[in-house]
Formats: sequence, C-alpha cells, structure tokens
Amino acid sequence: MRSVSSAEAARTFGAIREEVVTPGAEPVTVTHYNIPQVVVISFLEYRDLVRRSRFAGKVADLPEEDLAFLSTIDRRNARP
Amino acid sequence: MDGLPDGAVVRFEYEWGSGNEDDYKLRPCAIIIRGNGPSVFFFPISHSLPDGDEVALEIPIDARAAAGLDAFPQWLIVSRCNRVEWPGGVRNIQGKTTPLYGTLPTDFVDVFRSALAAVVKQKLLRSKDRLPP
Repeated sequence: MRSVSSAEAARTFGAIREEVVTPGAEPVTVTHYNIPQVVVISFLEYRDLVRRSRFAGKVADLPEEDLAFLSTIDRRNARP
Repeated sequence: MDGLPDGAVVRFEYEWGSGNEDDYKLRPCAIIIRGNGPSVFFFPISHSLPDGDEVALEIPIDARAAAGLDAFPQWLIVSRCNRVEWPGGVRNIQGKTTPLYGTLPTDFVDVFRSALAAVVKQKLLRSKDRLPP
C-alpha cells in the first residue's frame, strides 16, 4: 500500500483522491511523524468493507443462529 | 461493550438494508441486545411513522427524554436491525467525544424484547410451516 506523509497528503490531496477512486486502485496510507494514522479509500470500497462485516435488513431474514438467540430474548432480564 | 447497558441509545451508521448506495444514515439507534461474543444488534429510531409491514414501538415521551432524544414523536423499529461487531459503525455525537445519547428505561426495553421475540417466533413458525411433512 502506498504511503504518504500528512504534509504530502495536504499538498497533493486531489491526486490522491483521483488515485483511490480508480477501480482496482490501492488505498493510500497517510502517516504522521512516520506513524500510519489514516487510510484513504474510495466511498465504494468503504461501503463494501462495512457491508462485508454486518447484517442489515429485516429481523426475519437473520441467519438461523441469530433467530434462535433472539427467540428467547424476552426471557432474559434487561436489568443489569 | 465499554459498560453500555442494553437500551443504550448511540449514534450509529445504520444501513436500512435496501441495497441502495445511499442506504446509510447516521441516526440514533438503540443497542437492545448484545449477541454471542462481540456481536451487537442495533435497532433504528425514526421520526417517521413506519410502513405498514414494519413492526415498531412508539417511544413514550419520558423514555425519549431518558434516552436523550428530542421531544418529537419517535419510533423504535422492531422488525429491522443491523448486527455488527462492536464498535463497528458507532460514531461520536457531533461536537462530543461520546456516541451515547442516553439510555431507554428498562421497562420499555422489556416491552421491546417481548415484541422482538414475537417477531422472531412468528418467523420461526412460518419457516416450520414451509417444511415438507
């Protein structure tokens, strides 16, 4: 993954933006005092990353193991 | 879970599940249930009266106040959720260093749990009905 300093990122952000939105392009890491702090990725890649790690939709469409877990939720006390 | 109780209302990047690119919205969501391991179920809170096929509970005014929500009518949607690994999608409230708006009262959380269990049981019953004899 390409890495740039925060000063360079500030100077060349337009080019970095164009670079990361190119299909198949690598994300760009921004470092601050040589420590990686920020990764610049395209909006679409960000959405893919988020979607890959979550379920979103109707409760009725949850996987069976989740439905089994939730089917008894009313018998578990919400109080700490 | 950083000490957040069930019923905590946090700012969360909620995905409605329509598949559209603009499906995301930062909105108050209730953490009602912590799943097995790091999984957490987030249920959306909306100012809009839900569609006919959605199941939702109107949040009473005192519960809205306890949860840090505004005074306008709001609904907690029972029939939709996001399940993520904590703290994925949780975002700080603008201008603050915490995502936490407040916490729903436990009696309302209990009502929600019963409504959710009913939605799930209905689904499980329908699935059973479709099984071959």
